[in-house]
Amino acid sequence: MNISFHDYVSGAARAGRLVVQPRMGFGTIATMSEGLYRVRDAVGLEPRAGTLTIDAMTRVNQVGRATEILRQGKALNGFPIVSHGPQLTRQMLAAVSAPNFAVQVRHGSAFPMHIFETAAAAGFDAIEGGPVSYNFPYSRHPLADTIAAWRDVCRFWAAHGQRLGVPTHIETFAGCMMGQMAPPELLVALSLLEGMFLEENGIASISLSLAQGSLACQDEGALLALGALARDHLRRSDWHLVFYTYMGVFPRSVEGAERLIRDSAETAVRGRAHRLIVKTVAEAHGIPTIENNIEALGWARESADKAANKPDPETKVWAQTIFDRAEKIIVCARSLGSNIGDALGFAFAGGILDVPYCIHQSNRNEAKATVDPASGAVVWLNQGRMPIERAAVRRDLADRFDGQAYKNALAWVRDRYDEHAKKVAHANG
Amino acid sequence: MLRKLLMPTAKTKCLAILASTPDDSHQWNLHGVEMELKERNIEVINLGPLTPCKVIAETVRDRHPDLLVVSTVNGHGVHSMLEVLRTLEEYQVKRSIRIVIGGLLTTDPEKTKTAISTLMSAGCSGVFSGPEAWSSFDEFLHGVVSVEPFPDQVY
Repeated sequence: MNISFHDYVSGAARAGRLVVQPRMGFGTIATMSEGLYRVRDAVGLEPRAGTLTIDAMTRVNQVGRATEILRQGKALNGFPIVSHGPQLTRQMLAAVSAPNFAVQVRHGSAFPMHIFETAAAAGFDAIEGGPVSYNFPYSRHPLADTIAAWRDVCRFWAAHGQRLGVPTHIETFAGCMMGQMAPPELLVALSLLEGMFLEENGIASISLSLAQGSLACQDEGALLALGALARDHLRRSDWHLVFYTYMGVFPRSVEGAERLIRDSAETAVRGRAHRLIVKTVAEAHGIPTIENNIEALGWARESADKAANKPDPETKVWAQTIFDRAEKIIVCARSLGSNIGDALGFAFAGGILDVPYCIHQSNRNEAKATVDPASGAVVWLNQGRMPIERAAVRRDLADRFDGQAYKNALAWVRDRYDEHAKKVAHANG
Repeated sequence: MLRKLLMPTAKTKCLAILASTPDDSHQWNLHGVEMELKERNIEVINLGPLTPCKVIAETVRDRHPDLLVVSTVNGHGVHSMLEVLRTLEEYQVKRSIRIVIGGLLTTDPEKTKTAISTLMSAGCSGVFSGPEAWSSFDEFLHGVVSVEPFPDQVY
């Protein structure tokens, strides 16, 4: 029997250690099991968690197509859990089970009841997503539809926990919206609001996410603010913080990618996150192999264990700023409905929440942001209708923001880490 | 005065419909293309990611654009674009506009050349992929679409 995901991460948190976890998914039972075994048994990775990522066809409710591709022996970009069915999946999970190994299902589906049902029947207790974070980046459906759908899946998942006798876990993906160039106060507010939505619909174990940005002290401050806000706003559930290695345009050089991954582990520790979703050097080039994943998890483990937990003064300033701004957004959004689901819908309709660069019928897309090329911080160019003070808007950058500046901002992290790798290689001879 | 009267009047703004393919959820590329088009004084209707073929065809039919720009980076661009072109044909609007596509069209870089020729013979007027994509697209816009960025300065 596996330990529950909730108990495993809580145990590591009490011991003050960061859990590292890959984003791994393969089409066949054989490769998927091998991936899970390798993560479980790799020397020196503990504490670590396993991942079962669902394929793109199953995510968009085209199970028939996934089954067909699987039958033809062609590659899928994840595990088609519904095609394999609960029985085979349960057997696979039982085979890799160990008293110190927990596995989370990760999917990216806007309407995921089919995935939740199969995962529950297969014996999983941890999954992820949310009504905003799995709609805006992945679908064209109105927000109201996914809010309704996620109320149902949350209640289903909570009832599944009662049958299992463990608190079933859902992680909100809202701190990763668009992968890059979203100011952290918005990500923190969204992560909290989606977490509050999960809690409101019966989920007892929740993780709040945040993705690495382009400036370490800004990210550390954001994590500290997220933790402080969670203590205030999530009172009925157990929660932890999960940090993600950079989700935007990834360095092309192996050395640059390794540095970025190691930096994400250090930031996670200094920001007091409890878990880290680790990327690999293959991100810029295709689907990572098991080997890529184990290698990256090893770097993250090593850097996390070496990282000193001492926030610098700049981090404290960021933490306070991000806390104040996110708190304002949360309070303002929360006031709009008698429950969090309705409040989220109204907040996006009215522009109190507005995700920069997200083209979606339920997002106003009036707010704009960029990377400040001088400091690396993610900053506002236009706050839209959000309750963000005018002083936070960088008019100087907004005035000369053109297509080229946009492309430079998107590639800022990649270019900086690739440049650094080149310099190191040069210095070494 | 006479000179001014004899000069052609400023052309109405060029209109482009910008879309992705039905299975591509990437958005950053769409914003980049939108900004580049607008900087060239082209009006843009951005249909967003995961654009259903039907939505593209209906918008082309209803808005009479000068240009349809499809941007896709998920590596399945060839297959999906052929579907878009078939739908445009069904709506009988394929021949009325210039159609271009750009981005990452195949997961195997060695197949890019085949991809370009497939799409050109299927009815695209321009296919832009690889390291030169942006500069080629820029030349294409200057050459094929008659754009007058600052009509006042002509005089």
